[in-house]
This record gives sequence, C-alpha cells and structure tokens, in this order.
Amino acid sequence: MTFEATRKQPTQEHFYIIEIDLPIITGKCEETVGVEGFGTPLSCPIQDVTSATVIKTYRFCTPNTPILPIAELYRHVTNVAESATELQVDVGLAIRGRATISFEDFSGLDPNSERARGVASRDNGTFFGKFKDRNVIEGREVRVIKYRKSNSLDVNTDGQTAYYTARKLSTSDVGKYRLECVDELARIEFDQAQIPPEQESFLRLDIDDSVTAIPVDSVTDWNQISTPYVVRIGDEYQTVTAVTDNQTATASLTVKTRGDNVGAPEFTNTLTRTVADDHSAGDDVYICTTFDDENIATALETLLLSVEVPSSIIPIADWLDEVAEWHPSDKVNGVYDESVDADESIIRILEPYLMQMWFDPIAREIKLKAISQWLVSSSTVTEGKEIDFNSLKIADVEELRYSRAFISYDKPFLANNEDAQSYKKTSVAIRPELETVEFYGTKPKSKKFKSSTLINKGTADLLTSRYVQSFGMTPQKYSWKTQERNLNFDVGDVVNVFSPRIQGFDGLPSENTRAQILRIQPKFTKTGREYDVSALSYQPAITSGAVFVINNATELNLFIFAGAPSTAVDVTFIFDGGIFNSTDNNIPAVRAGGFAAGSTIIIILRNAADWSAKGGKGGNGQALVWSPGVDEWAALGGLSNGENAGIVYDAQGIDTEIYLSGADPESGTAEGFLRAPSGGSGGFVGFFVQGIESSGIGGDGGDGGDGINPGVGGFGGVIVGTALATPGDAGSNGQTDGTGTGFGVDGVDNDALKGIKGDGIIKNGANVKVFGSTPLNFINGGGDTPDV
Amino acid sequence: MILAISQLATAINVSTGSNPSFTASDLLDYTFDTVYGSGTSTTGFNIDLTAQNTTYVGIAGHNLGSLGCTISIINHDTTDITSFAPSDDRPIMFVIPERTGGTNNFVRIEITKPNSADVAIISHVATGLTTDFTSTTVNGQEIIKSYQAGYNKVPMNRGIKSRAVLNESAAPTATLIQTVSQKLNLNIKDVATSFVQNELVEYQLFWTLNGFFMRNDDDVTQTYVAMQFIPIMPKAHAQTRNLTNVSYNFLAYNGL
Repeated sequence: MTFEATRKQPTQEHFYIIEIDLPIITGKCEETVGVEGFGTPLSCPIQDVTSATVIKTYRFCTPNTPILPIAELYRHVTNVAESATELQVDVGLAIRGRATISFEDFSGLDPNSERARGVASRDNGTFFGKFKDRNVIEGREVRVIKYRKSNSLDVNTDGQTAYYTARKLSTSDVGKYRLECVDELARIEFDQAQIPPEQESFLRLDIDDSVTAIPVDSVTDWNQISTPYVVRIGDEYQTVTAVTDNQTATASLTVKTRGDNVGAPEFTNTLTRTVADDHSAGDDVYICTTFDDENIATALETLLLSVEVPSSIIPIADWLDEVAEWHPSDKVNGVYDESVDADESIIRILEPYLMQMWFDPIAREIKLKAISQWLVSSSTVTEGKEIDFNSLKIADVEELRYSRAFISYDKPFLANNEDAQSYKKTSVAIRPELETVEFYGTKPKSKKFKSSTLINKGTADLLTSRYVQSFGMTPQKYSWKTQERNLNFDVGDVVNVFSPRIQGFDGLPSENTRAQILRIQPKFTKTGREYDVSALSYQPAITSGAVFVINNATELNLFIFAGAPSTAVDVTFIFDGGIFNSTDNNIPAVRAGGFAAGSTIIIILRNAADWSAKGGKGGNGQALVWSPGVDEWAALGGLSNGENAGIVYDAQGIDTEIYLSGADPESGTAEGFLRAPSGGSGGFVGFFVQGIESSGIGGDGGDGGDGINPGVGGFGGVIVGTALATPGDAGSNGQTDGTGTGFGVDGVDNDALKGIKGDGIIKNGANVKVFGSTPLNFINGGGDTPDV
Repeated sequence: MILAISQLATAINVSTGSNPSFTASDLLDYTFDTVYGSGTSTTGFNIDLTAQNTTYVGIAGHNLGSLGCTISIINHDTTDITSFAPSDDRPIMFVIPERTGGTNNFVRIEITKPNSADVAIISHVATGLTTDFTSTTVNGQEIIKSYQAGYNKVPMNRGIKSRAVLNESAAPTATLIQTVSQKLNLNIKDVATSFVQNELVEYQLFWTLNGFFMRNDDDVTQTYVAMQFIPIMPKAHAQTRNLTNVSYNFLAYNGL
C-alpha cells in the first residue's frame, strides 16, 4: 500500500530507510601494483580500460524495519533528525532544511563485499570506519525514506522520499557516526556561490571617456551572453552592441555612445543612467546580468541556474502560475552589477515582491509563493484532530507588527551609493485606524524595507500595502504537534486554525483565524514519527466585506492598495479625510485597478475627504524677437494651448458605489468632495507695431485650471533683442478651492485653444452610482453620467 | 531449553532457486543486515550447508510463514530428516539427530514456495551443535532436565512499545507503536558445576560473538535468536558446591 494509502491507519509503526549513492569501480582496481583495491575511487588509483564507474546504493535502516528483499540493508540507524525548512515572512528565502542521521558502528561486514579484498577485510576494523575512509561522502545524494509498516509493503513504491545532499560523515562518539545533510537549495548556501559568478575580465588598454571600441582581454568569452548586454567598468555602465575578435589578442567590445543611458533602443526600460569616464588597462570589465521587463519567476530561475541549481528542481510552470495570479503586471527591471552572495541576490527579488522561496525535499522542488492577505485557506486544522489535543502554543510576534511600511525605489544612477539620496521615490502604506489611542497608540510603528533598484511604483505600493494589511495587527505564532496520520497540509499552505484556545470576542472558538504553515518538523521518537508544526497568523482579507481605510494618496490604485486580490471581491474603501489627487493629467487621482471581473467597490468619503485631480496648465503667451539691424519685430514662438485637466476616478469597468454625504453603509456619515478639475486657458499672441522697437508686448499666458493640484498659469511671452518692449503677463494659477476658474469647466479659447475640463468619473463600462451628491460636493466636469 | 553453541557451516550454496542479486554467504552472517531472496522461476529454494556432525538447523529473519512455504531438512544422503510448515515468521530451530560417519558433510534446507513468483527471504541460517543443560547426577541424585522449571516465554510475546494520542475526552486519536527487542533474563538452577566450568564458559564466547538460536521447548516454533549476550557472575548454590545457578541477560528476536 502506498504511503498515502496507509496515512489514515489509526495505529502506525514507522521506520526509515536511508539511501546513499556512491561510485564504485568495476573491472581493474588496484591500490598499488598487483594489490587489489576496495572498488572505490579513492582506493583504485590504478585502473585500465576494463575499469568503469558505476553507482552503488548503500542502504541503512532503523532496527524495526521488517525483513525486506534487499541484499544489503544495514540496520544501524539510531536516529533521524530532520531540521525542516522554515519560511521567513520578512526575508522571503526560507531557512534551509537539514537532516542528521545517526548510526551505530558495527563490525563483521565490509562496505565493499563486491570486491574480494573487501570480503577478506570483513573482520577488520568497523563498517563505518572503512566506509568513511574509502569514500568521499560530501555532495552525494542522500534519500531519507519514511515508511509505515503494512501487510503489503512494497519497499520500492510505498515510502515517502526526502532528498538531501550529504555534507559530512563524522564520528560523534566512540562507535557512533553522524551523517549531516542539507537540502538541495543549500547549493546556494551562500558563502560558496555568488550571483552573477565572478569572472576575471579586464581592460586590455587605457581608454578615454569617449572611445566606443573597448579593448578587452583575450581570455574571457565576451559572447557568453548575446548582445546587447551591459558591462560595468568602475562606476560607468556601457551597453555592448557587438563583440569583435572574441578571445583573441585584439578582442574588442563595441559600445553605445559613452555616457548614454542604458535603455532604449537596446532595452525597453532605462535600466540606469551613467557618466562616462576614463579607465586604465587592467580595470575590471564586469559583465552584468540585466533584467528588462523580466517576469519575476524567470528572473529567479535565471539567478538559480547561474549557480548551477539543476533545472529539474525548478518547477518554472508553477512559478509562472503563481506570479500570474499574484503579480500579474509586476516585472523585474534592473542590473546585477557585482557578484554578491547568492542568498542576497535571491532575496533582492523575493523581498520587494513579497514572495517566499523554500525547498520541498519530498516534492524535490523549489517552491515559490506570494504573500498576500488574500490567500485563501486550503484546509482547517482543528485541535483534537490535526492538532494534538493540548499541544497548541500561542505566542505574539510583536516584531512583525507594523502599522505602516515603506520602501524607496527608482535609483537613476546605479553607481551611486545606497544612501537615501540615491533614490528618487518612496512608497508608503499606512493603516491609520491602527495609529489611534483605541488601538496601538498614536506613535507609528514603521517597517522599512531595503531600498530596491528593481521595482516600480506599482510593485512598491503593492509590497507596502500587502505588508501592512497582513501584519498591521500583531501576528501570532502557533506551534503544535501533529500525528502523521493527520498530516494533511504542507509547508506554505494557508489554513484556518480552529481551537478553543483561540477565542473570538464572545469566547467561542474563532472562526476566522488564518495562518500560513511555516514549518513541519518531523520528529522521530521512541514510538515513531510525529511532527512539530509552526504557523504564523495574519490578518486575512475577506472576499466579501473587507474594509480599507485611507488618509491621503496620489494616483491611488485601489486594487494595489487592497493587496491585489486574485479573485472577484466586494470591498469597501473609507477615505477618512485628506486629499487625493494626481500629478499627471493622464493618470487618474483614484482608479479601480485590476480587480477581477465581478468585483464591486464601495467608496465612502468622510471627514471632508477631497478628491480632485490635476488642473490643466494655462497655455504660454507668444514670445517676440526684435532684430536691431533691420529694426523688425517677429514672432519667436512659444504660443501654446491650455492643457486638458485630469481624471478624478476611473472605475475601469468595476462596478462602484460612491458615498459623498449622508449615512454610509459602514454606519458612518459620508462627507467629502469629488470635483473634476478645470482645463487651462490658451495663451495669447504678442502685439507690436512693425519697426517701432518700444511697441512690442509679449503674449499673456492663459490661466491655469482649478483643481486639487491646480494648473499653473501659462508663461508670459518673452521679448528677445531689446529691453524697451514689454514681456507678456503670466496667466493666473488655478485654485485648489475652486475660486479661480471654478471646478469642472473648460479653459478659455484665447489666441490658442483651451484645455478641456477634467472628468469626475469615468466608468469604462462599469455601473457607477453616486450617493449623497450635491452641486457643491460633486462636480463631474466632462465625466460619464453616474447611474444614480 | 536448547541453545546453539556453535555455527559449523563452512560453506553455503543455493542449489535451487538461486538469485544473482544476492550472495549466499551473507546467509551465514548472524546479523540481519544482509539477506538472501530466492529466485522467481521455480517453487523450489534449496540452501545447502556444508557441515559435519551438526544437531540443529536454524532459520531466522524470514518470510516463509507469510508466504506459506514448507520447509524440509534433508540429510546428506538426501533423506528427509524433518519437515515443517510455519504459520508465521518466527525463527525456526530444527533439532536433528547427530549425523555421524559416512559423508555427513552436507545438510540441505529445502523450501517449497506456493508460487514460483514468490520471493522467499531469509536473513540467517545456521547449523551446529547445541546444549540442553543436560541431565546430570550429583551426589548420586540425577537432576533431570525435564524437571527444570519453565522459562520466560519470549516466543509468545511481541516486543512492542506503544503510545496513544488522546483527545479532550481521553479517546484515542492515533496510536504509535514501535517493534523493539525483548530483554530476557535466563536463570538456570542446579547446573553441574563441572559443566559450567568446563563447557559453559566456552559456549559463552560463542554466545558473546554471535547471534544464536535458542529454543524453549520441544516445539520447533518456540525459538528465538539471542544477541547482546551478557553472562552474570554465577552465585553460590545454597546446598552444594557441585551445583551452580547460572544467569544470563540478552536481547531476543522472535520475529513477531
């Protein structure tokens, strides 16, 4: 019966078989001339054409293993201690799993009885003494196979195999040996591998700051990655577009104009800006790994493969699915411009994308999973069943609670240091309702993520949002014991935890305690295996009725703020005072974002929350130029139209209800404004009397439109060539309170054309209802007519 | 009480039902680290032991009972000595008449499997001599071994550790068990002191260095394999110096 078929047996007896694959030599094997070796590579320095290397599988087991049709099965395993992988929420890369197998040494048998010399040596020394001396154990595959006894056990198919890599076999005491193993993700552990791998590549000759044919060494394979790619010499980045005379004495790289951005047309995104500089012969030429709109999954795969993690343990299809569900629009953009320890390179992606990676030694795969408050539970663990009765322990994890989180991003010059000044933007997410005396006090507790060069605004906002939404309330760590027959969950699973010890407000067991399984630690006791389990609770979002509170925001994406749920949801956003605007006429102040079809949004504006958008900028006035030699005026240009105003709310096809005044669905009182901004007015032409120097008057600028981020007035037209004429006047700036042009109106057609009024609401196919609107609090401008 | 005191097989060969994946000589190791599995082309599985003057044949660490095999012990002259069809996988110790004279250099364990496809597995076979702490005469009084008291019935008992996991109602939700060796203390009273001095001390060396077969009664299935043999210093007999009470500790494997 398979391992799963026997899982539910009420009475179980457990045993282990440990398998280790080692090479042995068949054919000729001599330790010295004429003296047969023991068949292991170490003991066979003399071989000939008849010699061949084959793999011998050594098997060891616990003493209670039944009699099995295995010729050599050494019953000397005294303990199997698996230190299971443990997820780390705040870092992303799990603690790697380990296993320690203890053996009792014995005599009377030889590890290499397939050789006559082994047979002759069977009574010499001890088994493990000979086994250790004749073999190199480190790096070998070790299989720890769990079994349950059954009446029809098939040893080949009925075990559950966990895969490890041997680190060392050592004596722990007289007659005791201990085999220490690590899981296969430990291949990148971590002082032993760097990403990207270090290379000795350098400049062959001095270069100045303008040459674009870069003389490089003759050893490095400069075609190891296809062009275009990026190299770094000192602080300067160069885009390589061609390689000439690769691996010859005249090897040369053709690079773009020195000092040009590393970006278009070779790359979709500007990956870094750079400054050209002189360099000397012998300077390192570092071949960078670049990601340009790279999928998170494939970026991680690229890094792991570069340190020779086998592709067979990277389930890329599963990774792509996970990324598609939780980061559908996030991409990795950046340059890996120095060799750093492998774990640091991996974490550099995992942390800002709030993803977890660990190795599953049973599936023999590296797992990748997103962290989100929207993860749904896959099962319920109940005390008395999956949780051994009275084994549950609960501990607050205050160190993970944060009411706000922030991360800096957008580093234009990668060569700059990591100081805050090197980054242009910061994303901040705040749970204002938690920073009150009713909750954790008014002092914010702020989580600072390590600044990232790989992410954009959307990713940064999603990271900070998901974190504070998940861990705004103090998480709890649950620890318990589970019997093997009830082990129906896995590391990384999200489960509901049901126990009388986890109570709701009414004292009854909480129905909505959600936790992620961090670790499942097998423990081989005197009577068999049981499992120590730990899980971390988080504040789950519920698919119907989740409420989010927001204070201030610019160009807010509600989908990102809600943590990017992957399925249709019904959510409520309370805008509790504050200002919500945009800085770009083409980006709405608030937009629904990528909610799944069928979702509904309720928006409540309270405490004078003020929604508007960028007002249109006034057009510039016409400039004039006086030509002294010929005494003539001419128009210099500069006359421009007023800009269009921006959009306040774009429903993007998601049905929305907006409450502006009166009783709201969350038992409060709505009070707020949604006012479309106004367009800017066109500029004016200049005036002059031809031939009269003092007659020139530059055109006036048009007025800026009102808006929460009002448009500025257009510049007055300047006068060139004489100080006797008069420049035009600048247009008036728009007002934030609508006292300028007023809200939601077009600019004025002057000599140049007006900018069009902004839109209060754009539906894009959604059903959008507005409740409690008045002429004062709802000015829709050119927006779509609401459905109520 | 019958104890093996030697393993006299000098060679071993699987003459029928051999399997190249296994090594016949591994059967002579008393440990269960190595086993022999029969081939699957015939129902016969014959193991030939080269030995002279032996009085027992032992088989341990097998699945012959589970498979429903029949075992026959065949003399060097190919005559049947005894046969047995085990119902379980406990060790088996056949006590056979001492074979002397002629070409008594051969004893065969002939196993017949119900199906040729079955893989009969055996960890250890042995043949050699035994002692039964035989009857002796002290001060003109015969001490008959049959009068000796019974011993702990290891073959009748499973060595099991068990632990139940209970819920809030003290009802079991799971039970874990672990098969373990049984510790046995064997006390044999009124053994002739000369026998202890001259022979038992020699046997102790074999018992210390090997796993060995023991059989409680005349029932072939009342057998176990003893290991981790620890002799306890004999205590003085309360009535006579000619008798000695001996005591041994060991672990016992009974195949259950």
